[in-house]
Amino acid sequence: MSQTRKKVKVAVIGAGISGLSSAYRILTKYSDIVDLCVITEFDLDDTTSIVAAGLWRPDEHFSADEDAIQQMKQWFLATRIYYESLVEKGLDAQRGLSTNFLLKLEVDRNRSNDCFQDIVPFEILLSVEETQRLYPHAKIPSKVEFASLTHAFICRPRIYLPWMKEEIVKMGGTFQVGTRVHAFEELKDFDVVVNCSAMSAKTLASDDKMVPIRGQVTLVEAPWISTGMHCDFSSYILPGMDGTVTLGGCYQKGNDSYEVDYELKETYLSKCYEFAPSLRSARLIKDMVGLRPLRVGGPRVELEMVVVGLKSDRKLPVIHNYGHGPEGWGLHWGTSGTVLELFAQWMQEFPIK
Amino acid sequence: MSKKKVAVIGSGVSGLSSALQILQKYKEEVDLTIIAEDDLEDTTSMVAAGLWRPNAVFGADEPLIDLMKRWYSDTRRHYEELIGNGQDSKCGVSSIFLVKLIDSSEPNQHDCFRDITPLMFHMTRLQLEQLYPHMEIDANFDYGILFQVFLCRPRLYLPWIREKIQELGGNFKIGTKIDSFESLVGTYDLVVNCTAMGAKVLAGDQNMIPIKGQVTLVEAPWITAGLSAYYDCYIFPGCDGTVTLGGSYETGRNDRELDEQLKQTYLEKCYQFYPSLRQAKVIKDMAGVRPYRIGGPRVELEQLNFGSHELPVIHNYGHGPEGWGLHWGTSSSVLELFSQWIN
Repeated sequence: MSQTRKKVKVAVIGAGISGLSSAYRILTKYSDIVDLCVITEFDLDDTTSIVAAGLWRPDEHFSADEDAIQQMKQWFLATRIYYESLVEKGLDAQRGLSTNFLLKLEVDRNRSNDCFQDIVPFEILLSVEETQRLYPHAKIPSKVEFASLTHAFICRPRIYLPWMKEEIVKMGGTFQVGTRVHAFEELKDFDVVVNCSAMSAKTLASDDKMVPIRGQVTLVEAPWISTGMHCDFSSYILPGMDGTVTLGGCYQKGNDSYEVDYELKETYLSKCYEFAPSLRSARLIKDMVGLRPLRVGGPRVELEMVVVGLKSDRKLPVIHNYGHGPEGWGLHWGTSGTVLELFAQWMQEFPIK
Repeated sequence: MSKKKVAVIGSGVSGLSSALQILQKYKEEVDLTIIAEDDLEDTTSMVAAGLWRPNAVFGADEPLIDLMKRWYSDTRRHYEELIGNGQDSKCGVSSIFLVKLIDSSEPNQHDCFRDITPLMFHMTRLQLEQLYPHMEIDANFDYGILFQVFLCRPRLYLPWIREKIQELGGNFKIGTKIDSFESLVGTYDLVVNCTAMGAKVLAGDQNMIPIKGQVTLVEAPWITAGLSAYYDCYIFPGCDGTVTLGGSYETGRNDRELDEQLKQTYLEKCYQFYPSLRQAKVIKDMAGVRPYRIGGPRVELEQLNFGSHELPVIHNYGHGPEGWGLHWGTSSSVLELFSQWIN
């Protein structure tokens, strides 16, 4: 009689894009030999990921060194290739994905995202005059030095996250919603933990590099908008294929308040309206606030053997995948790919019980 | 002073725009009726995607190009005004990016309009491949042009104009075919002739050539930019979530029969660019006849004489594939001619 291998018990902390992608990737490869549970304080609708527009447009926000930048480049590229494969298979629309031209108004002549130049599929640079020609009625802020027109991806969280959750459940994954993990110790009955706890990693993983970057948006119904606009986070218009448009925003470093700031809302809405006047007639759906979980130096994706147990006699493998800041949706397929690699490496050493 | 009785023949975009422009300026001085064989839904204008993209389809003759530049610019300003007023979503106007694949063995039809086109950016084959990495772009295409163009959805715009015309006191007489200008003598003081292909017989214009086109209208709100590769593959997404897939350019064909094989051919080509279009719900298939005129659109006043009766006719027909690109300009010219006449 052959010995059945005991299933590997995996806990994934967090049900945002990083957590769900990590769970999905692990289950896609190992569903018959793992018992995976997504443990989350928040249901999908209350994650930061749902607040985001779902934009893929590489940018450097992390004050990262050269190695970290190269790593992020690989992650951005992996996500882009994944999105392109969805387009090729005709799966884009059903997963909430669209490709959009995006006009980025740049305020810094020496912008730092030059480091991702070669993985942006298409980009042309426009002077302010050329930009004004494209949008003659738009009021272009005087701080704008030039603009770039690129081909970006926008993946609607409201469609993609529920789809991914359903796939996870189909593959045997379970969800434990409403549970906050305060210490890895609490998960010592699991064989391996994947930590996608975003801002909570500040305390859970004792990571001082974590800084909340408050964002606020207003979701409106405006199916007629097809091109995106982004001006330094202070105003942006990001249209989704579901007919909704995310209007924003702000980039408030160190601010961790979840309360809607109505004065701020008026400010960014009026800027958006100056750019696209027809937005004034768009029905407002909801205001949302999220804390972008930025990790100074770059996202943390690595395996750590965390000491747990009363006698500190056990080491719990924790695969970290947090700190993506404003780039959760830009990096997710890449970072979850690295999680899968780390998981695979660890699996090779997992003893048969 | 009694009102002038004006008849506008034709209920497509040229007829409606002409009627609106006249009423906007001379509402008090005219009694205007639009007489048309077809209701709005059955016009050629309704089949079209509603594209504004300057194109030297009538040849490179300089005076004509200058005139067309004026007409295209007028229409562009009109669309920009609607966008600036926030009325765009209501009347179906949007500005979109459009990629055109260029076979350099064909004549260049866009360069002469560079200064009136908001964006015309040369794209290398490499850049085209970056935009459509999942497909093999036909080797015939040497490069591309990234345009910014306007799309004006006929399904929204035409009813919106009709409403405006009615608000200004204009009347509609649908289902009536005008066989001769003479039949209008005595009833009307001036006629605006926007009869498209009908002008071949009505105005005896042998320069009119029908060019049949077929399209499939689908629901695909996730398509955000347009594409065109010759006339047998194009994808034009409107602000209403519908996308016009096409097409054909059948010179000499003057019928509106739907060709299933042709449809499958152009759809397959479109699917190469956007595989997800296979899942798009088909709303309807349509065919229309582009009213092409050799030498360009005819926009001029002709004084007709029938015995002791005079009938001034302002012609505004022969726009070929460019009805939606030129209409506000040509109808502005109609207004100028009308103003000269009425004063």
